[in-house]
Amino acid sequence: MSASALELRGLSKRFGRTLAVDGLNLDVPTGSFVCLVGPSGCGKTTALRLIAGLESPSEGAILSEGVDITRRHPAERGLGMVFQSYALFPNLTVGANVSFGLPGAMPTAQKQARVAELLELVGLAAFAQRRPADLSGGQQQRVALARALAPGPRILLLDEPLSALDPHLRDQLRAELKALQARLGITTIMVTHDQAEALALADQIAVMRGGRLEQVGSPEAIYGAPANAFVASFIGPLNQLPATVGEAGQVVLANGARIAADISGLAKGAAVIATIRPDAVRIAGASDAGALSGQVIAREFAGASVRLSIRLGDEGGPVLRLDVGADHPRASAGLGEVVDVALPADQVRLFAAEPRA
Amino acid sequence: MTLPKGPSAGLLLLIFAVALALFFGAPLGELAWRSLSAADGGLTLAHYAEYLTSPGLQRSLVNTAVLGAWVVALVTPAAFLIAYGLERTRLPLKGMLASLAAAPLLVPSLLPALALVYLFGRQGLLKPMLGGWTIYGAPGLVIADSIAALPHAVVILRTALSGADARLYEQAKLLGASGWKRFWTITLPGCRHGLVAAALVVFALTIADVGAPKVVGGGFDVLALDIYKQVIGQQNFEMGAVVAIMLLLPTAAAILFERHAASRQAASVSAQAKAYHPEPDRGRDLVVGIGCVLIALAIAAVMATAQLAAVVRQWPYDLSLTGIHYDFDRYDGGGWSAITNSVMLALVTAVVGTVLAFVGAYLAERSQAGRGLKRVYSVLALGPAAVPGLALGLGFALFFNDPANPLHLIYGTVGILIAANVVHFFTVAHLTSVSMLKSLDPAFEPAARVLGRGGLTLFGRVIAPLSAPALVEIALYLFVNAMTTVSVVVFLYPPEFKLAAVAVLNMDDAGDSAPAAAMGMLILYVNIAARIVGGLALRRLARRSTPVETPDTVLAGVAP
Repeated sequence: MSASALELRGLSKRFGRTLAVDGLNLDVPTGSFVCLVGPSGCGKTTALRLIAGLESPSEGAILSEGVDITRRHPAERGLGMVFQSYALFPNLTVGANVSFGLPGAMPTAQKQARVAELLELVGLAAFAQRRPADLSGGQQQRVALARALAPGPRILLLDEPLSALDPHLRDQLRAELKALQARLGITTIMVTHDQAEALALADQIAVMRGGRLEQVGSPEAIYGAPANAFVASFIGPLNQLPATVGEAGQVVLANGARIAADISGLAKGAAVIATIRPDAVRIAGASDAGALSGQVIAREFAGASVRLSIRLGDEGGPVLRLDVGADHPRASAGLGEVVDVALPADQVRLFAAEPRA
Repeated sequence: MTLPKGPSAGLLLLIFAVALALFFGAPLGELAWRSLSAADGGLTLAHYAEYLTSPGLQRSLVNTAVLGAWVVALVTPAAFLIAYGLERTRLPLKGMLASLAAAPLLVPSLLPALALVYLFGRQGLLKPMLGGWTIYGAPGLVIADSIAALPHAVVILRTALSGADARLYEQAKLLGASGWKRFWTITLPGCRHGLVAAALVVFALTIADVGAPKVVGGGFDVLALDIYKQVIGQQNFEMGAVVAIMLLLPTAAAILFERHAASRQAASVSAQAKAYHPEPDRGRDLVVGIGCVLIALAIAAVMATAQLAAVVRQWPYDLSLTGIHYDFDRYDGGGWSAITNSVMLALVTAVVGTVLAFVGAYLAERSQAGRGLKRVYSVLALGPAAVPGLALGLGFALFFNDPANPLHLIYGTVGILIAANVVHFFTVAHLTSVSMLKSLDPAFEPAARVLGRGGLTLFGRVIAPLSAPALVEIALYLFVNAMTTVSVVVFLYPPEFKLAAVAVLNMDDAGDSAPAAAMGMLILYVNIAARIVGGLALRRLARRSTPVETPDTVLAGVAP
């Protein structure tokens, strides 16, 4: 067994009667970028705090390169952490913030060199004497990164590091973060509630819900082959149509319309949810057999594409959203117009209807 | 060094909690015990029965309640007017108004009473204006205690009024509500909890005050004076304890309700609230301004009278200037050493109290100590505000005077004065620390832990420097209150260690009211000097570091 940078084995954390993290098993290969993603309250931040040693687990173990570090002091785990608020010390200069975690025994000259090196790395060499309040949000985030990296950790933990920033700045810093991580080759675990961020940054995405891992995989696998309806809907826009399994590779929607899908392994008459992403729905051509038609009830322009919502069948029928390229002739369809659409069978995924809680 | 892990922070907080139990809980327990203990060592209600059947008591009880009610009825609207003038109008000279309204905080509660006697007493300058009335008794007490309590109510009501949400007023105006209607439907309901809190604090302060009853009480006996008479006059500690408990119960009830009201007031301020800026309104400013000026003039007149009486030969017959009343060493119970002693005591109280309250609050708010222990400490720290100074002081005297008590060695020393002062004023210091610490990013400690720096490093390099403005505020609060308090130290001060505020009481008692006024005003000047020094320190702190918001000093607690 090659030692992973980090390995979680059956990790659980109980707060009173609530189980915040429930039997987490996760393997983080050395040098990889892993995103823990999920809705708020799913336990992802608690999981990160357990890894950092800021909380102690109720059950389970944490291994780093094969060594059990479950009970180690946070500072002895070889990790650096960037907090959501950055937790920069406002009364200290940028330089003093970065050197805060350097060993007290380190000679001053060496400390200064290390601080300069890190500020250089994050592109803030000229800011050592400034105070955090004088910096922009993006600059503060980079100082927090430099401070976390200063002691030379093997693992970097990021707790929603981009969420405090303006959207346009977020995209820019996302790219910088990815480039820096790749350059340093440092194993990184990031917590985020933003699935787009996870898709853009991660080598591996771990989707959590209710303290449990729902699925772990590459961004492509999570997006293209989600394990269940929750993962599918969390990771990107999704049409979810209640249906029952019919015959001959078809499912029947609530309004009686039939769509083709892979029904292997499913009993006839079983209740399922038929899903398809809006970008996978096509405008039907003349050659498409089994096209559905519906009336446009909403239209949102989004630059390169237009998202149409169409109602299949009569009043109260299921609503389907689809993305149409802005240059497509039907992209200009107005409210009330009828549009014919095709749902490619290989893009339709069926999930067992979840019992209501 | 590594950061204090769970156990050491927990151990430290445990020591703090035990110390509070020992220096707060135990004296109170002793007080209750002594009020119930029979001569043969058993439990008895005989002392209560004796007191309840004594003819004087019913009068004292009713008098105390009547006094409290009158002062509440006078002070609450007056304080509201001043708070409104400061927060909701465009009056000029707001700084001066605020200073005058706060001035009574800086003097012992006896001083306004003393000045009233100079103005309206037997030889009062304005006595003819009273017609057949006399200032001694209820009227003088109500006025003197109103002046003493006013600043506390102003602080509370300013906080309540400053939290206004401008959006509500804008919305009301768009809907066509008149200024008068906006006042009744937004302003008053918005600060109703503040009004309740102010009334309760005023009531608790008034019934616990011993200074004014001593000076202008005449025959109008109140509970606080009964305690003083039983203990100092008759050396009857059991009976003193009984009355102290009788006083403690309504005070504690009032303060507990007040905390509840204050937290409701705080909760009613929305985080998204838009700051309210009063717009020009000459009519409003004129009406409110006249009221404020009258109140401010009354306070100024009282202070000026006390000062004037201190520098003339024989008020009001011989108004030639003299410094003779400042020769304190000539008077029994006085002496210049009382001033230096008080300054020293106030300084030590300020330093010790600030450090203990802040470190305790830090451990209870941000350390890794156990949750249960944190809660116990937080509850304990709220206790002292609910206990009148006389009751606490008597509890201290009874508890530490017992030779069997290993802590007996502090009895009769300056140490017991420091301890009593720190405990008496602990709650406000604690709450101010807590609100400061709550304003700091909770991720500081985790960040330092991951970076491998100890809790002490973080505390010394980050937490304490960031909290410096609040620390200055707390130290100032403790200094000023330690300078002016009589009640908590009057049973405790060693004979050779006289205190200025007590000297005011004793000199007046001995008939030397001019030197008493002189010393009372000296206390005022010392406190003004302390406020100036503190203000300069705050300004320097503000310039030195990035602006960190200083939390408003939490409500002034019971401090007579």
